[in-house]
Amino acid sequence: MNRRDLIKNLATICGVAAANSMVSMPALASAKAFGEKQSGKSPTLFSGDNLAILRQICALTIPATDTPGAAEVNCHLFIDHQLSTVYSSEQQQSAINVMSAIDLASEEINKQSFVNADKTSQLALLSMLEASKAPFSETLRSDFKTIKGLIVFGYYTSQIGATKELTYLAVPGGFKGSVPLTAVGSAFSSKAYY
Amino acid sequence: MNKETYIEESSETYDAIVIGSGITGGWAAKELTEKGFKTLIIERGRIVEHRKDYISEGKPPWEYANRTKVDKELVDEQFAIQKQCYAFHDGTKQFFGNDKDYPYTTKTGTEFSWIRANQLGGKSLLWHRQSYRMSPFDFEANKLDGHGNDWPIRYNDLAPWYEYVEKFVGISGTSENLPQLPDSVFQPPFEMTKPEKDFAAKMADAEPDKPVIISRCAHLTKPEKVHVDLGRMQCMARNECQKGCSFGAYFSTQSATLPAAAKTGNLFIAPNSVVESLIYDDTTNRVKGVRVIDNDTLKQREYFGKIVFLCASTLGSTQIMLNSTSKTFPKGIANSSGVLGQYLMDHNYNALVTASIDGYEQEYYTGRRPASLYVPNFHYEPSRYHEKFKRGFALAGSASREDWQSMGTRDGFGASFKNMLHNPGKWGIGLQAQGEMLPRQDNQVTLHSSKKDKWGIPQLHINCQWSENENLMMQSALEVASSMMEKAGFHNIQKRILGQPPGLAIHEVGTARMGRDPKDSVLNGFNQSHDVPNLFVTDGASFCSTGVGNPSLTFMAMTARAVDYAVKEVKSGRL
Repeated sequence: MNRRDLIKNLATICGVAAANSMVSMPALASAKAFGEKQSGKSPTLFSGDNLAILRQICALTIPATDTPGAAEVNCHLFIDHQLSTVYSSEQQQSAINVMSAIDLASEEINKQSFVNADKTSQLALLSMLEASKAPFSETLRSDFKTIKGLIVFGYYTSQIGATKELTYLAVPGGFKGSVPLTAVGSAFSSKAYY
Repeated sequence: MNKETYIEESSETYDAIVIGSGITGGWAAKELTEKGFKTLIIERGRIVEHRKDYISEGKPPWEYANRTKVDKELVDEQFAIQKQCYAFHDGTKQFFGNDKDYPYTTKTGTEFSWIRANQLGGKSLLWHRQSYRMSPFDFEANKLDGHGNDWPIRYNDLAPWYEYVEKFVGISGTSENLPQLPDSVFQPPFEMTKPEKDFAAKMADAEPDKPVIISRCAHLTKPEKVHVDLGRMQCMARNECQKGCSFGAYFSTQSATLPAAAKTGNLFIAPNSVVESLIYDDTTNRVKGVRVIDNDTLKQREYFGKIVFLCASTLGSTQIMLNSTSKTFPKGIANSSGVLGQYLMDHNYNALVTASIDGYEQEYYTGRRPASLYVPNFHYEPSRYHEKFKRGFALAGSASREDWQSMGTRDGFGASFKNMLHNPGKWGIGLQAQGEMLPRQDNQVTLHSSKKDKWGIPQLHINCQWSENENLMMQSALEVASSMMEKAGFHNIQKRILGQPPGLAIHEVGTARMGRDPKDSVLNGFNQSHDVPNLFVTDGASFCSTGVGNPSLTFMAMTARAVDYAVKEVKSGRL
């Protein structure tokens, strides 16, 4: 019997409290699912250099604080996976182009590759990209926002992002229209649709 | 379900055959079996067992191959139409039809998105569960403004049947005593959030003809014995209903009508049986059975029954009737009028207005509410029509706090960015129109002259478009919703026309309409064929107009009423 069968059986017998306690058990990831702990996985879309750039962008966007950050849950590998399986070849190429443009701009402005630049220079460059300041075009900015959306999506749908950084309620037990934010403590990660 | 319930070959003549097992077919089967009729449900799709076959229920996003998104090659190959439905994702795709298997054509220059759910339970597993009675005005609209034919029934004919089905289904909501939106028998309502409550209070003063109420939905908030006896429980506010619900908290065939029918011992189900046509006996002028093609083996077989309830969905039922030709009915069974296939309607959801709400920073909520805000139609009779269009619309939406899904592409990096997403964002509100579509003869389905599906059944050819009336109505809905938001003091009001083709409200109705006159309608006021007395069509095909509300509750009430009538006719010897 797997965890979900347990939930179903418990739901029928005991209801919400028991069902919720089952959800907090360690996840039994399905074989195909992208695993946030698969750090050794080799990329299918990005070159090694581009993956390193992407990993650093993940780390700069959602860093480790008192909870792990996007790089720690392998968002860069998730994005490689997700672009390969869910996105069009045009979108895949746009993502690769963004990495190349970032590296090229870093060579021009910082006289070194993006991953070798210091963190302040890296952040300055990404901020220029978000503002579509030269040498970055509006198209590059827009394509970068797609990647940023994927970083955020990948992080907050990971187990750590969903359950440690935010509040995950698999079985809320009902709807309450007014509760103080302090009673919840953070935003909810769980949604019906993504 | 017991194994004995499922049959494959049978030479028996059943008391009744029900084609389809969605909301309508489930109700027909429940009512017929409870009245002692040995009943066979014919379902084109596979068996879906309650609980056991809800394969993605409770699955957190990180366990999906692509975090709930569907592989693009699979989408392109099999779900090009179905993906347009808001509820389509990796956890629900098993309940959507495979577009490759269910081809249809549309007239050049027109679009229609036909959402399919071909399995035991049909769309009752996928529906949005919002449940409203049609009003006395809805049943009179065609007669009063001259669009479409007059409904052969009035609200009072259906009112006791609404009450009857509501007690069994469980509809949460509030009694409002509004003329245009009759109250149901209610389970306790879902709560509003604080900004929603304040919005409703402000509108009660500023726009007294546009009350803001909580929507009415088929969720148990306080189960009663009739529900508990079927294994149904209180809604947990997961709002992941379309994956299936083991709590049985929302009404579906699986959670409610099927177990009730099975309890009688009179229920039999023939799954994987694609109905090709109805078998018509011209010596008796009756449908004597149903010709089906096996879903998997493509072998043909037949089932026989004394009466037939066609509940295969609006377009599914119509396709079967059009394909059931005989010497008597060369244009499709029960189609002496020639209107079969005509007057296709859907609801128009194309107007969306959103805004931001200041304040309420310490206010939050828990749970994912399956209900919304609802502003009932205020153009509900000709004297209240807008000068530029006929009929009206409702508004539905909700106020909630922004989160990573809407804020995730904002500028910024690092701990401050992460911290911004750690907390819920500003409150926002959205209101979307649900507009009535006029019945128009031009909007119709026919059988394609040459193209067939893999079962050898002619494909449906759909010609359906919004008219100027619907487009003007959506423009007005934008103004109404934005004006309400302005009066409420909301900011950043954004108006959008979504441009969706008909079909995506998944409220398709018409195409085998009721009527008083057999010359311009297919069914009488009891959903009975004018031409072939033992044939009943009780799904949305029977509608003469859409009304404004979501139609499923009316399918249920009409079906229960039609069964009551049919059984009386059989027992009296008239049928």
